[in-house]
Amino acid sequence: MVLEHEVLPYFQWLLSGGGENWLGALPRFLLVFLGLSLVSILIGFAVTASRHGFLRGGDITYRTIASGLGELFHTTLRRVWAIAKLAVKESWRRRVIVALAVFFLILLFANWFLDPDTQQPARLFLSFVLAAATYLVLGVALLLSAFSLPNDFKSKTIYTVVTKPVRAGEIILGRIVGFTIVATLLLAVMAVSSYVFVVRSLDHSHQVVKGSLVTEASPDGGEIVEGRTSNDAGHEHELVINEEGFGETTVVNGHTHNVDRQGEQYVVSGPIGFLQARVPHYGKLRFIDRTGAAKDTGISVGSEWTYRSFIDGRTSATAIWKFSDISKSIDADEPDDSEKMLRLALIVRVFRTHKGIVGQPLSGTIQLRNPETELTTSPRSFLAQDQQVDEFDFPRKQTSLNTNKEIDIFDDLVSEKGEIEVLVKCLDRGQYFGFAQPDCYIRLPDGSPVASLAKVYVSIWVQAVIVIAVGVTISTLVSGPVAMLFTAAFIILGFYRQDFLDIATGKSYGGGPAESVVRIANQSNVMVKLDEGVLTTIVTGFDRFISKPIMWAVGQCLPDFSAFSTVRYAAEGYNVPWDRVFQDVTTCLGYVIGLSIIGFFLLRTREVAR
Amino acid sequence: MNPRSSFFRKMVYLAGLAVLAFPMAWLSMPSTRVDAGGKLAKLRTEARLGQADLGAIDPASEVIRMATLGLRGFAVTMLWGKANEFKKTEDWTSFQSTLEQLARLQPYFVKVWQYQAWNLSYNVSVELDAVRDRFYYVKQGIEYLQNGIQYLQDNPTLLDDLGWFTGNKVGRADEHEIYRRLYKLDEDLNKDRAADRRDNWLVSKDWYDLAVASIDVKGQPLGTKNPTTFFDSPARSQISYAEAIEEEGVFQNRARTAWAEGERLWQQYGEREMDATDGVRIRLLDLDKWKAEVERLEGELDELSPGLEETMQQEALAALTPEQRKMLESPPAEPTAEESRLQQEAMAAMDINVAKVADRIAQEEPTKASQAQQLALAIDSARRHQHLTDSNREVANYEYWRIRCALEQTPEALKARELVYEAERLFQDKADPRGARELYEQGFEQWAAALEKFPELPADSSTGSDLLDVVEEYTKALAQLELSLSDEEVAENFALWEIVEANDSQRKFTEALEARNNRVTGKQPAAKSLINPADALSRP
Repeated sequence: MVLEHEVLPYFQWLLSGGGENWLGALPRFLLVFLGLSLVSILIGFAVTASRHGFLRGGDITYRTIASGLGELFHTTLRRVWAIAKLAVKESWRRRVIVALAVFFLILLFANWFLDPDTQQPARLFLSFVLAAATYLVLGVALLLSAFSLPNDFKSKTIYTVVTKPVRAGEIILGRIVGFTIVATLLLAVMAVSSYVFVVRSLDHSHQVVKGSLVTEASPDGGEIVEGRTSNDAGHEHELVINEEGFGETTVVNGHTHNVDRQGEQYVVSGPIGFLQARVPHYGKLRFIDRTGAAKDTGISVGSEWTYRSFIDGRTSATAIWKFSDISKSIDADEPDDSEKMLRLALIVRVFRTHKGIVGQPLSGTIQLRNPETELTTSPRSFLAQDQQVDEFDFPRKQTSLNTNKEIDIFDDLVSEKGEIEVLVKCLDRGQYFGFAQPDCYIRLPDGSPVASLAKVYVSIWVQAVIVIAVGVTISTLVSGPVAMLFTAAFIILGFYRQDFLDIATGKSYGGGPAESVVRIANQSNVMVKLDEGVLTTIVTGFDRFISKPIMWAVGQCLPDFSAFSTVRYAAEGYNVPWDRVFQDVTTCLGYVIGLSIIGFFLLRTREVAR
Repeated sequence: MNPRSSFFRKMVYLAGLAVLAFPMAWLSMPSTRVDAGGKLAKLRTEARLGQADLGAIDPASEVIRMATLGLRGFAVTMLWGKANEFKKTEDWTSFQSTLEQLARLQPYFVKVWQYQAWNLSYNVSVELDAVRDRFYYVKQGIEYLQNGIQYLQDNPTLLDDLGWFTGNKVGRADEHEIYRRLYKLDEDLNKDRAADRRDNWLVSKDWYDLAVASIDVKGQPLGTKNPTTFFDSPARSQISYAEAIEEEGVFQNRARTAWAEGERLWQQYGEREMDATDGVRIRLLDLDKWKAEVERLEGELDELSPGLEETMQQEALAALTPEQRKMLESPPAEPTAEESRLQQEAMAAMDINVAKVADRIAQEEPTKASQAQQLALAIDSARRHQHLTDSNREVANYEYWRIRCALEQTPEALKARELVYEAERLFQDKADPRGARELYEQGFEQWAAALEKFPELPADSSTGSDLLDVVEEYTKALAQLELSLSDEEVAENFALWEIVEANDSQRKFTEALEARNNRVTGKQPAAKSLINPADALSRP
């Protein structure tokens, strides 16, 4: 699975950060919060000072903050819950159930557009239903949250509400909680129905083509029957049946079938392996180049996408992964201590500089090594399955390189720190193997695909809650349509946050917004240097000192919606890590808290809520 | 009206909608690769009514286009961006599904089908390492084009591309042996085809036939395509089929029939009237006719004033200045600007064309002026036809393929191919160089006999270079017997010396050719020095 950004352990992510984020999430949140608070206080003070004078303005600002903070600390869950219930009832009145009807309609006709005859049908179907659920729920969250408060203002219902003993903060939080409950219920129904849809859509069976069956001698002296299945769902499998009458088909389009001989008939089971939740334990990757020198990355083969780097075949070039926290418990599925294994998975990206023998895969070797003693196993050769997950089960007992002595993986190859290294080489001269860090991992016992799917829905839920929080907050200040446009812009910018920040930080070509306007007018593409002159100086200066800093500041407050999506985990058969789920939920909580506070102060600016 | 009756009314509406959904699905479901679709889709297929003819009828595509609410251009731009991104990040499943969405949004845009099908069959397929995976994407590209044909029925460009992909991509790739096997086994690509017609080249020919029919029968425009290379495709596919089956060990009757069909189609192609440049229409078989016509007309012009052209030549030569004459008779290798000018003037003066001759006749004998002018025009036209026919024959390599089809049908050529095939099997699979050598030599004799029947086939044609590859294999078998083509006992039995001499551009057989020449001329070969001259010089 492609993981362009490493998932950090939760507490490291929260406190100290790592990788591209040099600051933990919590300090970042506090910094942004502090910055926003200061800006808000300054603006508030400037407005009141202009209306009431300097000292009086300062006094009003101070009292607003003090009383506001006091109110925030007096928020009670009972009142929040009461408002939340109202929000749920309001949603029901506003026919939120239509979203479910639309979802069912999409599922009903989805098979018109989805072709099960692809190499990864599970991925196609899951991606489709999860994307549909995401966009629908975000749409519902947008409409519910943006129009709720403005409608109350319009219909004067808010006057009834504020006569009750509720505080402004509770109105905001209550609505967020209420709409969140609605989104949760919607998502729960969607999750169950999409699971049923995917399982039913992918379900198929085959017949054994009797004319294709040929009896062959098996390597252990017995007899096996080889043949193929009928072509159903756009594909067929080859199959092997043992003397007892049981067999398995080859893997085609990401699944297999079991075959059982019952008298003269063969019964082929439903598909196996479409929905998986592999649990990978990742290591750290480094390289040795052809001269034997240590490198952080391998060779570039000129691909525009630099995710993987390559090692050259039949040289000293090696890809080395170091795994930590290794012990016998890593193979928890095997109760017998002596039978425990190290289950490795490897994805190889093949790059050929010459055709080689057509139809013959490249070969490589894989070895285990103790990083402290450098005790290494004999090389285990394999045929590279380009871009596929290839699995290697290493039994406990291995033979050592050169001495050929028997060694034990957990006793001899795992260092005292609990580390082990995996070395991979390419054996064909002039050919290359490419790797990224997540391309090799130790496979822990599989998780539940249903639970993994549920975690994907949590990531959709997180996005919906953020949209609700933004919608409710902004709707305290502006009318419904404006709130909807603002929230929609927030979502769109959130999906393109990285591009937005790349413009703000000058990583993208073509300058900022003002420069873009000039380029559009001049019909100059982004690579063309603008003519020097007063206009260019003004435009680039405006972007540099005004547009880009504002864009950067806005970018710091935007959630990265594209990064929230964990659809790919489920679609490619991986378990969504808990670290990732906790990070998303924590981010969501940060937005809800921050936006509730902002919403509280914004609502207080409305006369009705004072 | 109480709330209860309102509720019931809504329930009835809902039930009505649900019931209506069934006939809607029965009527409007679009066809897919695995399903013929609803009633409308079936009718469309039966009546061969593409969307381009009927306008919007595919509900799926229409619904998607309408759902973009006028933002189709924006959606399409985004999808193209996404497709490029998925291709860059090697996410082939998402890439393919994005192409499907694009096709729904731009179903009548030929370039979308062409470009993205090419992407799948040529660019994505080579990104995968396993041959089966490669073939999968080659097939996806072909099926993408087939989907395009559903929308743009009788589009010659897409039909021609289908012929090209099915023929050349499957049959000429490095992996063509495996691709062709997989193609024959593929049910999707061979729907309703008899087992003996499941060949990529034959399917390719059928697509090309449809492309040609789209022009001839349906009256579709050819666009910017060159007619010479467009209309030869069915015959070329048939010839490639004949070559391919022989490469796979099918000889005698089946091979002869395949070549005979190739010859028939090639003849048919030669008889086709096609547009050449400037609205001139030509037939490739008419070359001799135009040559004769030019000769006849020139004769008629000469008869009007016998010997006039020669007289004009002499006059022109006499009128040249000494400098011009010098430049004409012995042009310098690197002329100066002045010399070039003189040379051009001399050549222009010496260019006695038919128009000049006709003008002179008109001046000298005004009664023959009209006839002379008409003859001059007719000669120009005939020469133009001759030139265009000749150059287009060159483009199609017409003469070579005509001879080749005839040659391959001879019993000698058929036997020769069979013997060489057996020899290769014997050498490669059974490691029997002695048996292989014998069969190779018999095969070469048959080849020599076959080639003798067609002296008009140049020795350095592509048949010659193909044969040279076979000779190379033969020398490998000889090497295992510690022999070479230079050895007298081998050379005496080798029947293809002329082919080797004409095609050895890489000089792999120089030594063997020299040894043979020496034997033929009786010259002694240069003695090989046993001492390295450098060593000799360094000795005291």
